[in-house]
Amino acid sequence: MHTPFEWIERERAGLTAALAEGLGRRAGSVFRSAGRAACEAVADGVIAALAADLASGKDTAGREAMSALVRRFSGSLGYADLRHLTTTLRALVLAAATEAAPAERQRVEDWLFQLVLVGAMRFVAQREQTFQEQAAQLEVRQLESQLEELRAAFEEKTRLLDVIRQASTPVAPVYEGIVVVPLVGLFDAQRAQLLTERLLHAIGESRASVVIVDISGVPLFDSEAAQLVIRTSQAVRLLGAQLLLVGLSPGVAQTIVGLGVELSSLKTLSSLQDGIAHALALRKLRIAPMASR
Amino acid sequence: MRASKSGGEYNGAALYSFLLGLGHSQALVQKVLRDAGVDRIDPTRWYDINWAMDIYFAIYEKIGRGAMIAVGKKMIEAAPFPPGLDDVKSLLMGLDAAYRMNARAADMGCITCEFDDDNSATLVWTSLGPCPLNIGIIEGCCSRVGAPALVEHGAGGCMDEGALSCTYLVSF
Repeated sequence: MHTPFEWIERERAGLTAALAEGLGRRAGSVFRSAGRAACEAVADGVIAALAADLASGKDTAGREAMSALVRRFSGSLGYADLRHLTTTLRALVLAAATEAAPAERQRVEDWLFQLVLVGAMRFVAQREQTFQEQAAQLEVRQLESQLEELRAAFEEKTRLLDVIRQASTPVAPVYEGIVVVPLVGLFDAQRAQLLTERLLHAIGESRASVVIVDISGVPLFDSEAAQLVIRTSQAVRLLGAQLLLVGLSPGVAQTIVGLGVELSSLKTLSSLQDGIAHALALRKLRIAPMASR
Repeated sequence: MRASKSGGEYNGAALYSFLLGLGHSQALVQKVLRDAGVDRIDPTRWYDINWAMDIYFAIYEKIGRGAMIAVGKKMIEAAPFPPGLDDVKSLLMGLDAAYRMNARAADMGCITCEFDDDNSATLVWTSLGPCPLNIGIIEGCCSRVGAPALVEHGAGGCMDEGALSCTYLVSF
């Protein structure tokens, strides 16, 4: 009695050996690069799958074998490798099945066709996944690079702002015991802190008793800025000095009144000239014309 | 990058056609040539082979892999070929002869081509020059005769990374 596909078991060992040899023959192929043992393992897996599927009438083992192959050589398997495997396998199996019934040969052809379809699909899916991973890595690298650039720019901006603040908060001694601080530009909390630190240091160093803060160069002097000056004034007073606020424009004065800011704890004067005259008076001094000879 | 130790010459015409293939990047070409100490390439003379390879690699470094492949492809698509070279097989088999017409050096290497079947070939290059240019040249040979090809770099190393040869698996 004829057993279907009996030839496959008879030819199995020979087919496996021939396929392994064929896989290792092509220069540059991933199989050859992987070595003889890997070629034999691949060949054994595929021929075993063919035998199993011919016996069961399904294509499951072939699909699994192809998926495992693509996974095994993930990242290095090329289309040419896949093509080499399937064409070599087809040539060998059809040669082994020359005496098989036409229906059996057709079944083998169908199985090989399924194998090619599954292999191509898995290969494309694997490539797609690789491309997506590479694209994601590229995006992350680009984002990290942008972030690094932003961080560097922010640090540079902070450094420059600090330089500007340092340069725009000079403490100038104009006479013994009197220092003038002409403020230019935005007066915010950070600058107020810097001003306080520098003032306290200057007072201690020069033994100043009067500090004149000129705000005529400050474009916006609101309630927050006023509170900051009041706090600075309180710190100055703790060292036994007095803070005079000068340079209030009529517009700023109106704004302060409108905002309801209480500046009574501060001595305010309209101009730097008035401030210096007042400071001299506090020190029992005055500016007098030189006597003519 | 592999250099010729024996020294030799390279055909100015080949280098010239490569530079022409760069098309709109003439400012780049001028810069690379100036850096190499010349204003232009004379297609009628021969240049030191390592100097010529330095030009290829200098441009490769500036334009990158993808653009280098495109230039190699364009170069072959536009090049005049002898009559009879009108199919993929004859063109790929003729690559070694074409290389020998353009390079003269004892250790210049060679190009071997073996057809696995009617629609696939394995090429092994031990020649000088950047790997992506070789891929572009193979693609150009195939597309020139209307057979767009898939050219894959085979396993076993790349000359640009110090290997002795590059293997290309071509499906068309």
